[in-house]
Amino acid sequence: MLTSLPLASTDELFQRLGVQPTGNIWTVLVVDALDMDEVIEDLSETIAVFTECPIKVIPAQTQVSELIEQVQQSSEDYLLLWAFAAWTCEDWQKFDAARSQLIKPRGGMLVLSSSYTSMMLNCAPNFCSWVGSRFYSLAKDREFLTEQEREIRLAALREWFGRSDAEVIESAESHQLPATPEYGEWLVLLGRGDLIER
Amino acid sequence: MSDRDIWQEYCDKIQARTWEAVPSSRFKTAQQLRGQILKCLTQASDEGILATKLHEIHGLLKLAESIQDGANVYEILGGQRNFNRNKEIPHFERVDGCWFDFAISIDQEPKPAEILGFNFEIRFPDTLIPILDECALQISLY
Repeated sequence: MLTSLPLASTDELFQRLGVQPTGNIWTVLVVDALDMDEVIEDLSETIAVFTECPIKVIPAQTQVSELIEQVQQSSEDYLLLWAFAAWTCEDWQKFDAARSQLIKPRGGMLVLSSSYTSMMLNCAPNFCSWVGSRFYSLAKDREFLTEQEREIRLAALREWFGRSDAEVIESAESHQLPATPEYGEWLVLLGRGDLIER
Repeated sequence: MSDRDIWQEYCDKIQARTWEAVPSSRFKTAQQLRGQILKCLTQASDEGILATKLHEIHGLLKLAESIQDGANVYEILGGQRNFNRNKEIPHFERVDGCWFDFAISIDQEPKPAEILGFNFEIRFPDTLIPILDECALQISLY
């Protein structure tokens, strides 16, 4: 099932959250374990823009009962639960049994790595059934420019201003680059945002 | 003073006034500001104001980063660079035919993040020129 999970970029996820009806709706997001910290940080910064309500990030504790208690005591309308690496099948079974206590005005999202998703599927089948089709595998970093897109923008800048990347960097290093937004973008695209005059 | 100088002076005043209206700290990171813009564009598309479809918005609203050498600078990009105003180049478009693109530079190193600079250009189709002329006339009468 994991290989057949629909891919979703953060943009697609956010848009889905934005059109979700108000209610206790939960989503599961599968990410690469190496990206977990960065993904949690990005999600925590931006999800509230689309849910239009305060959110709380809760790392799962080794004790399922502690997590459920935190869920019930939190005043935020939407929750982001993560850090399930220490959970065993028995923990997921307890979580599954306590699923009726996962009640928030806007619901929440479980974020876990693919290596633990299988355990959840096998040991918390009722919760997974409740989530239904809202299982997604994160297609990370799609919001960033590809190398090809970066080069297209750089080519447009070079052509318009009639300058090379090296000339722009040299001008910036000698504090002679015009303080216009186009040159600022040029430096960022070259990875030299440090040269933008403040 | 030449017409070009007058126009330049006019543009500088507008830029200064516009810059004063730029929100200073309503976002913590470039990702968060980009998220706000994404929501605004999504809503505009849903409400029939923006002709650009949801999946097209994903491809047009992009991010670039420069985080080496002590920098923590991002660029939010809306549409491809289009100095020659070529409508074949991917852009955002309203249902009335107006089309636009933009770019915003953000420095995340000061807390909260701050906008270093931005540009935004919206182009009006010829069919709207009579309406714009009328608006300009009304404004001049005041």
